[in-house]
Amino acid sequence: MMEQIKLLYKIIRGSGILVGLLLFLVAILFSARIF
Amino acid sequence: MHYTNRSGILWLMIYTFLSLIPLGIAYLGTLPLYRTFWIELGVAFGFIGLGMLGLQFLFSGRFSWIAPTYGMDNIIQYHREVGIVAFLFVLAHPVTLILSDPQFLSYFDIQVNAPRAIALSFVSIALLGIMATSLWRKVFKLNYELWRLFHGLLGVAIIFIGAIHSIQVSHYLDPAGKKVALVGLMGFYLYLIIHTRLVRPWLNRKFPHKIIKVQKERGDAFSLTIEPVGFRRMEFSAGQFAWITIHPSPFSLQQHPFSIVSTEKDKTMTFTAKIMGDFTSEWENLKPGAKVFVEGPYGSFVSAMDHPIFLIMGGIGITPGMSMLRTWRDSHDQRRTILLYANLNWEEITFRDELEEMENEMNLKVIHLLEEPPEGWVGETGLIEEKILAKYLPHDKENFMYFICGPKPLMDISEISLRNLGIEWKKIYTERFEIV
Repeated sequence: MMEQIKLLYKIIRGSGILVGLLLFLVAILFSARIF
Repeated sequence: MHYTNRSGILWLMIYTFLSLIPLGIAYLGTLPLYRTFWIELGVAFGFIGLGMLGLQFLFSGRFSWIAPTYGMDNIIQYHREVGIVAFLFVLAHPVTLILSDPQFLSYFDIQVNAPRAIALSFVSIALLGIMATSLWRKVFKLNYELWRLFHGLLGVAIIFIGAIHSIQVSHYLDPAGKKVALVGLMGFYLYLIIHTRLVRPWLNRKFPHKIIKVQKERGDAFSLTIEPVGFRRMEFSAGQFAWITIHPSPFSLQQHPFSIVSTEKDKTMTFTAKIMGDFTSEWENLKPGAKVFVEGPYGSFVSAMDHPIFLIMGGIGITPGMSMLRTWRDSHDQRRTILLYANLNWEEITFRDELEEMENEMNLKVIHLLEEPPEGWVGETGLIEEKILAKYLPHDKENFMYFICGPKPLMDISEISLRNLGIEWKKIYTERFEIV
C-alpha cells in the first residue's frame, strides 16, 4: 500500500500538488462565501 | 525552446482559471440558501473536479495551439499529474457530502432513483478504472490500443454523466442560463475529443505517406523511412517526434509516438524503434509501399541555436539525439557536443558505427557506458550515476544545454544528478515516452 501511495505522490509531486492546493484553497473560499 | 519560470507560472494561472469555470458559473448571480460549510465545500469539489476532467481533453488532444508553447511531452505529463488530482476532487465530492449529511447516500440508492444511482455508481467505477488502467496498464496486460479506446470512451461517459448530474441536482444552476453555460462548456470539451479521434484523422486522410525503406539496426531496432505521397514533407526541428499510424486507414487505433531520426533537411522522414514485443514487433515485416499517416511534429526536445549540448541517452532513447547529430553534421555545425550513451552491451549499441564516424567529422565526444562490457573494456561500466556525470561534465557546464532520453530510471537519476551538480532546471530537457 505504501508503495502505491509513493507512486501516486511521485507522479503528482510537480505542479499537480501545487494546482491541487490552489484549487482546494479556492473551494474553501467559495464554500465559506468569502468570494 | 527555453523553459522559463514565467511560462510555468502563466501555465498554472491559466490552468487554475480554466478549472474554475464550472464553479464560477455556479456562483454567478443570485446564490441559493447557504447550507453548512461542509456541504458547500463538497459541492465546490464536484464543480472543480468536473472542470478539471473536462480540461483533460484539451491536454490529451495534441492541439497545435498549445503544444508549441509547452511541448507535447510536458503537456501529456501534466495530463497525467492533474488527472490524479482531478480524480481526488471528484472522489472528495460524494465523500464530503455524505460525511456532512448521510442523506446524500440516497443519490446511490437504486430504490430512490434507479437511473441516477446507476449513472453515479458507473462514474465512480469508471474513474477508478481510468486511474488503475493508466497507472498499471502493463500490470493488467492491457494492450495500448485497447487502453486508448477504453480511456477515451470512459472519459466521455464521465463528463457526460457529470454534466447531466449537475443539471439534474440544479441547486446552483438556476436560472436556466447557468445550465446552458455549463452544457456549452462541457459540449466544447466533448467536441475536443471528437476532433482528436475523428475529425483530425478524417482531415489527415488526404495526406498519406508510404514506406520506402525498412532497415535493421543494431540492438533489435528497425528504421522506417517514409515519404509523403503528392505533397511536401512536414517541417520539424531535430529532436521532435510524431504520431504515426501504419495502416491503410487514418482512423486506426494503432497510433504511436516515435522520434524522428532523420535530418531537418531530408526529403524523407525516418523513425527508429526497438522491437519490444508489442506494436513495434510488426516493423520487421513491413514492406515498402505500405501506407502511413503522420501527425506532428510535437515535442520541445529541441536545442536552441549554437548552444553546446550534453546528451544523456540510453538504448533506443538515442533517437531524438540522432536527429540532432545528423542535422548538425549535414549543416557543418561545429558546436561542442558530448554524448553519454548507456547501453546493455557493445553489440547492441544502435547507430554505433555512424556515431564513430561522426566523432571524426564533428566536434563530438561519445562516452559509452556499458552494463555488460566485453572482456578488456576500458570504458565506463555499470548504470548511470551521479559520479559518472560529475566526471564528464565540462568545466563550463553552465553554458551547456542538457538533453536526457532513455529508460525511466536513467532519466530520473540523470535529472536528479544534474540538479545536484548545480545545473539549472531550465537547462535540462527530458523526453519521456513511457507515459502509460
